[in-house]
Amino acid sequence: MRQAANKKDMIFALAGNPNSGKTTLFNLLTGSSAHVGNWPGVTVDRREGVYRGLRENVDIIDLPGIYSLSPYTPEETVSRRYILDNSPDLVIDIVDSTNLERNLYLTTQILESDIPVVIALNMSDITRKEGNHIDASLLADRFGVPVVEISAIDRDGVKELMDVAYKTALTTRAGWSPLERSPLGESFERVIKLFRGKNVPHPVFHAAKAVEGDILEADATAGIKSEIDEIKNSMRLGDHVAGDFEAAVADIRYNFIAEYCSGALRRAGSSGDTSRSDRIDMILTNKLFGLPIFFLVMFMVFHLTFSESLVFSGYIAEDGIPSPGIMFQGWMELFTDWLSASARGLLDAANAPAWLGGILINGLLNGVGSVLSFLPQILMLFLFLSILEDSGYMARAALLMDRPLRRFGLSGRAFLPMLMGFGCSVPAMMGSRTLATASERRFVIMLMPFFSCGAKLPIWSLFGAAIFPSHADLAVFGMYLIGIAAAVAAAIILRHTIMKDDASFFIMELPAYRMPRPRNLCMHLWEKASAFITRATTIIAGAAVIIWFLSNFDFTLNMVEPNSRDSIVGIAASFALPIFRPLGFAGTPDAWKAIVAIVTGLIAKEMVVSTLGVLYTPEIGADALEDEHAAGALSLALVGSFSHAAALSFMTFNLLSIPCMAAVATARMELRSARHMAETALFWLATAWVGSFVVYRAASIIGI
Amino acid sequence: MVALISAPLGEAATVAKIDAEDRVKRRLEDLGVLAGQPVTPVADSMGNTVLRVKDSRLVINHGLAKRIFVY
Repeated sequence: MRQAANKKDMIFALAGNPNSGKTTLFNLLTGSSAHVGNWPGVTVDRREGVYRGLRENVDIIDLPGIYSLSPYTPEETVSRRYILDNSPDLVIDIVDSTNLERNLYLTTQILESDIPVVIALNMSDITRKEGNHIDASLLADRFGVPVVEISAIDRDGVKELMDVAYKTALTTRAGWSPLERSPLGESFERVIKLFRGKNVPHPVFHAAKAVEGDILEADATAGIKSEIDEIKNSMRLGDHVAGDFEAAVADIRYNFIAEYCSGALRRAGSSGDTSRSDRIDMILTNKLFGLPIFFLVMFMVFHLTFSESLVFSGYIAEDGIPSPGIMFQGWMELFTDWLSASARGLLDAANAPAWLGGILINGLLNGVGSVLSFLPQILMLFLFLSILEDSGYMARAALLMDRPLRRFGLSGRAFLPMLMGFGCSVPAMMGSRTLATASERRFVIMLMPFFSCGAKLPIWSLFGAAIFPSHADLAVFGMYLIGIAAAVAAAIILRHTIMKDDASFFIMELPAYRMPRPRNLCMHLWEKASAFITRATTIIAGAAVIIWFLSNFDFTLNMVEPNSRDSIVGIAASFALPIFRPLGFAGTPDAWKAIVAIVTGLIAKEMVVSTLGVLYTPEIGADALEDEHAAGALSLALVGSFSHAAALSFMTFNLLSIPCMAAVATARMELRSARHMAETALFWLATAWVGSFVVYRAASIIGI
Repeated sequence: MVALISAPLGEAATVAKIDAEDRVKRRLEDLGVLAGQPVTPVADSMGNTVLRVKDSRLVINHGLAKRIFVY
């Protein structure tokens, strides 16, 4: 028994191309035991879980989707380091059987290591449906490792795969390379011998990489470098690769696959046929229809998520049927209201002190509640996003939007997250994960607040109606335009300063169109929802309590009128006034109120209007703001405090500054760096100040 | 030898040479586009060329399609 307790769990690593169905298999194997972390030093997800279907538990590590083990992307480096240095008991190599030759390219590299390998031929159902046949036993024979046909999406063959994997993990394997069977074979054997002589693990892998001239091989080749170079100099490469060793090795791999493996694939039709995906693409990426269809799809996604009236029953929302997004949001608000009311009831029944009620209900529950009320819409957006991603349409959207965005140093994939920013920055930032590079991800996250989100709309409506009564719609629309202008300006500046990455080439795989599966969609949604709820209940709850404290107490820790001039926030706002004076709205005696509203807006933009209500019309109170008379009173108060130019400046500051605590927490998670997050927050504040300054001056000069 | 961008759509061709920086060349290699291997340009859309490479479809922008030569 003691022995069993001390024995370490077996570890199987999943490796495979992007779009090979690796994540589906991982979710299937690990179920609820899965958790997401990240690989040290890089912004790449590290998924880990436990498979319990065997005699003993097996840890499953999901390596990132890669095309090769070369050292050109963080995903490749991470996978390679893991396979070589951590020596898992087994690698399950997931191969998309509808795209056999390209997927086997990675296989030839994995097989150069000494780790036991099982090949999982995924999507065998689709291959069969297309009338093709793959001879698994022939492949197994050629590659010298077991090959199991599976369909992860239909949960077919997975048990068998794991049984075979378990048996294979108990065996040992020696790596081999297609290079050994190529015209370079003899010289290659001499390179392998050098590594064997050094007694390094995985000699064949290192030998192959040394021939390729891999930059990560400096350590492994120490001491034998000159001998390797000598052997390489004696190698005769084909004319077409012209002295390029890396191309020569890639050529050998592909020729090996074509020669030895194409016999294993029997095709039903001639390979020149246009497939179903090609036919769909003729419409969806068509020169004429492609973009209109794309914009229609985007419109529907937003309409279903954010529209107050689903059917076009008029410009004003009152009589329309709300979209599912708004409907669910209403239910969520009912739930959080009920939670606050019940908590209030319980506290009253228990005769709890006033400060406890304040901190629990006004601080914690209201703060978390205002953020949670966005959860339904965030999930709706993610449902649509997952459908677009899983169906393969997202790659087409990237193709369509690539050229216009390239001018700003972004790729086509960045369009969708930025568009989502008009709904809510939080899912938009989470959606930036589909971007190829960490620097593009950072770029998009930094631009995100400039796309005016749904929570800012009440501010625009209030000021539009109060300060610009005859041009309210123009004022609202103008804020969206100012935001877009700020995004373009910031993109150009960032492009030429910190984000100098070369984005001039666009290479992307177009996956085949597939019907999204509800099970997979639910998995994605659950992952997003749990990440969001975790943040709402930890970071945001903490921030809400702190802000409540600062706005209800003074420096001597006496409780004061909420958000009043005597509170810590009020005192700090008075001190901060000089910073805001050049922006035009800090000149009046009431100006500290506007500053407090801005500060609470950093927590959540919904709080700007309610804070203004509380401060400018204390006799009415925030709850009554929905009431027309109360809103009128607030409008009157605002007219007295804000000139036209000052109002535009105040709105611009709210538009461009830190969007909310939820967004900051999300940015922290997506950037994986506290320093980058701090820089980003400072960037937002600085842009807000500069933007407001420019808007105020411009508006004063034109005489708005 | 012609640049991929002006190769006829729907006709299989063989890559002769790729005139791009190393990183880009390696990426293309890993995706199956390298000298000596077959590719078929299948469509042209919004400043991009769509290629069939073995059983997969790749999109590359015109800037890159001008630097890949086929025969």
